[in-house]
Amino acid sequence: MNRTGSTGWLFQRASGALIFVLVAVHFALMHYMGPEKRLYADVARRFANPLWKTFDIVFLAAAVPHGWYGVWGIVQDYVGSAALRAAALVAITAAALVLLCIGFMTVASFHAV
Amino acid sequence: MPSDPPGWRLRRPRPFEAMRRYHYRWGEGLWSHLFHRVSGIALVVYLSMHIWVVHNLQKGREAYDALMKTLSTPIFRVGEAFLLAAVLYHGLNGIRLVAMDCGLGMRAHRATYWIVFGVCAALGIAGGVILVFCLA
Repeated sequence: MNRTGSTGWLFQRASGALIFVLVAVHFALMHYMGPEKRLYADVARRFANPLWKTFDIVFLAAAVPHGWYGVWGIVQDYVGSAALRAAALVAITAAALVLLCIGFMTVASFHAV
Repeated sequence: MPSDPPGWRLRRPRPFEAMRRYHYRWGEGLWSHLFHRVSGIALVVYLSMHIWVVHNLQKGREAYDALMKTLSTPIFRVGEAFLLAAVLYHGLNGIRLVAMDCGLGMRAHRATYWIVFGVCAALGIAGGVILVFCLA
């Protein structure tokens, strides 16, 4: 992050625009195109295509840091104490890294049974 | 450095005085911001649960499909409708904010807020009704 925060600001806008497109596809497909879309067989069929795996990993890599940055902004707005801020930063960063790892492993290590 | 005016005394501000008197301008801009925050927090909570749930793919076909069946029951459909509303609001208002950051629609910010709100309400209600009543 640079001193003025313009890198984070730009990242939040760019990732937000990307997520807007990805979430539209994801939500329409998973919630409106039939209940079988979220069952194991359909997930396996999609994950057989590396483009869908890429889609999900890009989605994950955009959404988790976007949420992390948003929560960090809220902490900066409402938490005054430097110690509490540091603790919050450690906690939300750890949570984001765990979510990134779980999500990445789910997609990357998937093999149909 | 200018001296304090005569009769000036420091007094303890009343609760929420700053918020009431000058800090916040209550209006479309503030509601846009507050709803953006609240929907953002809701989406972060949802995303965390979502990543955890999908992680159950590694437990195999039967376990995952049983879980998905549970998550398709009416109560979760209602939750999906609220999820749709949060996604719609955060996404559409986010596009509005990015447009204003690019200098577009600054003067029309009140009108565009109500457009976002209206589109979000219309699509949210229509999509929510479909989720809850038509996709059982």
